[in-house]
Amino acid sequence: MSNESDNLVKKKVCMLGAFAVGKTSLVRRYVENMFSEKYQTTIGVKIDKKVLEIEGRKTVLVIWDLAGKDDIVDLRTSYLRGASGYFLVVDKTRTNTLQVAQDVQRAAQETLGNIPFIAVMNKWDLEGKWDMDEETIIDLRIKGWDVIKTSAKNNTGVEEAFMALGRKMIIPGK
Amino acid sequence: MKNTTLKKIFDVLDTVILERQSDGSFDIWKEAPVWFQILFASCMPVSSKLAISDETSFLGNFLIDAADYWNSGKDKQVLWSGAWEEILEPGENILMEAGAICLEGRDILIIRALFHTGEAYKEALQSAREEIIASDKLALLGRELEEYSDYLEREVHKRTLQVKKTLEGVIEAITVITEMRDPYTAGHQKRVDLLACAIARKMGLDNEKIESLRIAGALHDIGKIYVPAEILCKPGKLSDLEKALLQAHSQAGYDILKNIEFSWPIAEIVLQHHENMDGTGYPGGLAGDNILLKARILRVADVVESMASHRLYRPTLGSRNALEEIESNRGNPLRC
Ligand SMILES: Nc1nc2c(ncn2[C@@H]2O[C@H](COP(=O)(O)OP(=O)(O)OP(=O)(O)O)[C@@H](O)[C@H]2O)c(=O)[nH]1
Ligand SMILES: [Fe+2]
Ligand SMILES: [Mg+2]
Repeated sequence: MSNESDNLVKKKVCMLGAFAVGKTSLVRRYVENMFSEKYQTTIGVKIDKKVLEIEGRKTVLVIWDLAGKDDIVDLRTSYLRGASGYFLVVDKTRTNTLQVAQDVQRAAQETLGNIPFIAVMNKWDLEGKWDMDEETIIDLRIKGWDVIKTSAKNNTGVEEAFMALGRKMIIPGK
Repeated sequence: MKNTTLKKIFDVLDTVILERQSDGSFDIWKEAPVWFQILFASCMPVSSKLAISDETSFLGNFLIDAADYWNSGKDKQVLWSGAWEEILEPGENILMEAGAICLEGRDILIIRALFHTGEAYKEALQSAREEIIASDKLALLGRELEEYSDYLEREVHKRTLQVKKTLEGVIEAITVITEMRDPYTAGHQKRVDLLACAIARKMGLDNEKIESLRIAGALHDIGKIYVPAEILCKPGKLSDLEKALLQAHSQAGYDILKNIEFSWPIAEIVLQHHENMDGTGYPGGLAGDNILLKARILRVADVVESMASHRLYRPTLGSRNALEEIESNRGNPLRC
C-alpha cells in the first residue's frame, strides 16, 4: 500500500469469469507488464492496485482478481460489494466460458445493479476454430455489452480495456 | 491484555488476534508478525492498533459482514472471509484468511497467513482444473474431427456431383452426335431413357439401378455411329446385308463403351438391348435370365417408343396401341 495512493480516490474493479480464462494474466499485464505461460490458479481473491489517470484525474484502481468460477468454486457475491465496475473475462478458445460470463453477469447485476462493465474476449492471439465468431460478438454488442478483444500474452487491448472501464466509471454517461 | 490459554495457542501460529473496540478499531493481542506490519502499515496508527476504513480493501469489505455477525450476538461458529492474496513486496505474495468470532463476550477478529494450508489446497484445485481444461480440449478436438469428417463427406459429395455433371455432359454430347446422323429418330434415345426409368421405378428398383439404366438408355444406340446413314434413313424394307449392318450397332456400342469405367455394366446392357426373352434377338441370341434385367427393361422401352413414334417407313401406331401390343405379348418373346 503506497502512500501516494492513500490520498487518491479509490475505485474497486472486479475480474469475473470462468477459471483459467486469463483474469490474473490480464491484471499482471496491466499492472506489471508481464506475462507467464504457466497456469497458477488464483485462490480466493487477489488484490492489486494501479493508479489510472483519465483526463488529468488520478484514481486508484483496486483490482479484485477473483478465483474463476466453476463447480468447485462459486462466486461469493459479498466480494462484489462496493465495486464501481467489473470485467467479464471470456477465453476465446473455450466456448463454455462465454456461458459462465453470462451467468456471472446476471449475478453481478443482481448484486450491484447497473454499474459499468466490459466483456473481454481474451487469448485473441490464439488461432483455431471455435464457435465464437464475429457474429457472437455482434450479438453481445446488440445486447448492450461493451466487448473488447484482448491478449494478455501479446499485450493487445489490455490497456484499452482498463482505460475504457475507467472512463465509464469516472466519467458518467460514457 | 490477559494472558489466556487461547492467546498462547495463537502465538505459535501464523495468526494475529485482534479485539474490536467500541470505536470500531482493533487492538492487537500480541506483537504482530512482520508480514502483518508490512501489509497493514498504513492502517496501524500505533503498533498495537489496527484501524480499517477502506472498504475497497478485502479486509474492509469483510469487516462489513463481520460487524453484522458480531452485532447479531452469535458466538458459535467462526465466520470466515475466504482466502485472499496481497502483495507483500514485489514478487512476494501472501495468502491470508480472516475470521470473525465471539469469544468470552468479546468481538474477535482472526487474521492468519495460509503459508502451508494454502499451498496444498491450491495444488489440489489447480490439478482438478487442469484436468477439466484437458478434457475440454479433448472434446473440442473430437468435435473438430467430427466437423472435419462432415466436411470431407460434403466435399466427396460435391465432387461426385461434379463428376456426374461432367458425365452427363459427355453423354448428352454423344447422344447428340449419334442422333445427328439419324435425324428421323432424333429424341428416340431420350424418350427410351425416360420410359425405361419409369418402368424401373414402377418395378421398385432402387435409385442406383435406375441411374445406371438412365445412362445405358441415353447411350444404347451409340453404335449407330458405325451404321451408314443411308441405311439409317432408308424407308421400307432392308436387304439382309443392310439388316446385318444395322444390327451390328449393338456390338459397336459395346466396343465403344467397354473401356469406359462406369460403376455399372453399361456396355453389357447396351450390347444386350436387342436380345429377346425367347432367344430370337441379337447379337447373342440370349434368352430369359441370361439377359440382364436392365437390358430387358431397355428392350421393352425401346419397342414401345419405336411403335409409338412416327417412323419413315410407317406412321405412328400411337402409344395406346403400342402398350396394348406389349400387354398382349405379356410373357411372350419380344420380336421387333
Ligand atoms: N495464449 C494466451 N494465453 C493466455 C492469455 N491469457 C492467459 N493465458 C494463459 O491462460 C492460463 C490461465 O491464465 P490465468 O491468468 O491464470 O487465468 P485466470 O482466469 O486467472 O484463472 P483462475 O485464477 O484459475 O480463475 C495461463 O496458462 C496463461 O498463461 C492470452 O491472452 N493468450
Ligand atoms: Fe437399338
Ligand atoms: Mg487467476
